[in-house]
Amino acid sequence: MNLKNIQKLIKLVEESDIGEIEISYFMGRRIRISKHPKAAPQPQERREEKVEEKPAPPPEIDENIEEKEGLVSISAPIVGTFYRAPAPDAEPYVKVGDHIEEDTVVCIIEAMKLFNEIKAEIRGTIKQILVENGQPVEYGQTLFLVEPD
Amino acid sequence: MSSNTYDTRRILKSQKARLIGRNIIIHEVVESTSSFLKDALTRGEVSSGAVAVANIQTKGYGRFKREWVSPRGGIYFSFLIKRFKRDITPLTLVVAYSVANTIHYLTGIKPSLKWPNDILINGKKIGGVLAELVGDNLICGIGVNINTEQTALPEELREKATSVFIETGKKLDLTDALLNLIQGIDKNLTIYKNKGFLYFRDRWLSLCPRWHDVIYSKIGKEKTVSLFHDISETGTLIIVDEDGKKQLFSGEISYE
Repeated sequence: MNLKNIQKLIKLVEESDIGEIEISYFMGRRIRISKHPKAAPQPQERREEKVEEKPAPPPEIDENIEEKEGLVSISAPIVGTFYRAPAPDAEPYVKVGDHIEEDTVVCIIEAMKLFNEIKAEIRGTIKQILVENGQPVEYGQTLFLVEPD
Repeated sequence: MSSNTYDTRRILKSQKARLIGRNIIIHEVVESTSSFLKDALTRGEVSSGAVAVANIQTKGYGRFKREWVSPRGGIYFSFLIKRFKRDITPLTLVVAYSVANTIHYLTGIKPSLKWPNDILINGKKIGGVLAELVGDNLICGIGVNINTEQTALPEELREKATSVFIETGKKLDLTDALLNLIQGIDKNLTIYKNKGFLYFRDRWLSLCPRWHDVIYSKIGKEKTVSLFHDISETGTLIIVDEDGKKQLFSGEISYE
């Protein structure tokens, strides 16, 4: 799916009176664009929301952030489900503002019931956490932004 | 000797230099055999191939630390492999296949498998596999309800969980069953190490009655209906839904 085309579409929606648009076939995908700013997550629309978010992964966006703010990313070494804590009721491994060492475990990624503890491999301070607990992550997807020491 | 305890001498005699089962540590009660191995690993007390076994686990856990109820009569064990020289991801499928195969051999009843690694009899769960990677150390935990009485299972689980005894009326010798499980996993992991998951793919699918059936998959909070299309060469689940083919690396599936 072409990022520019989606951006065009978003702009069209923004400039119009349309609150929400759903196209069942757009560049081979289904897409829904909704104007409600940060509306509460609506479960039945999650698929389309995901499509909206899809443009995020391209690496150039991440690089921009890094260049601008001097931040370094910790990215997913494998594909799977991202978990911030060792158990649902446990404290997250790291929070924004936490100082981390190279061997600090920052999260778990699960693939086929194999739980991989992911280490920071960098010293610094967590500035941003880009993935929600329980969300699937792709190979190389940025999980955390870190301000190196 | 009662069939619900282990013959320690026989188990210790079985220890051999191989992938797993070099060193078998038996506990009466332990929080969880995997946490025991993790702690022992941190303290530098165990080497690759170690197996920890318990009669009872007080904090056995399944996926994402969900409790795995572990009363007497079940077999609960974990093994440690350091620096395994193959893609570790499909390993839990190989272990589940191996456990199902051993149960088949011991009882004559063929369990079925549910992706990625649940072991079922008559559609109810008798066992599960969970692995954790700590650095380059793999700790894999296995829980199988063998001689577990129905009354030992919490009422709310009885619809979903069962044991070999409940389904067959037969009680197995736990020592026999444990040694067969360990040696079966050892054999299959050795094959996996040499041949990869492709060797197991069709064997795994032959124990999966829902191949090509409708399934529900849930990743995070997203639940979708799709068709169980295949298992890939790396053990991922291939599903087909309205958007086409998709590969699942994690998540849960259900049949209804």
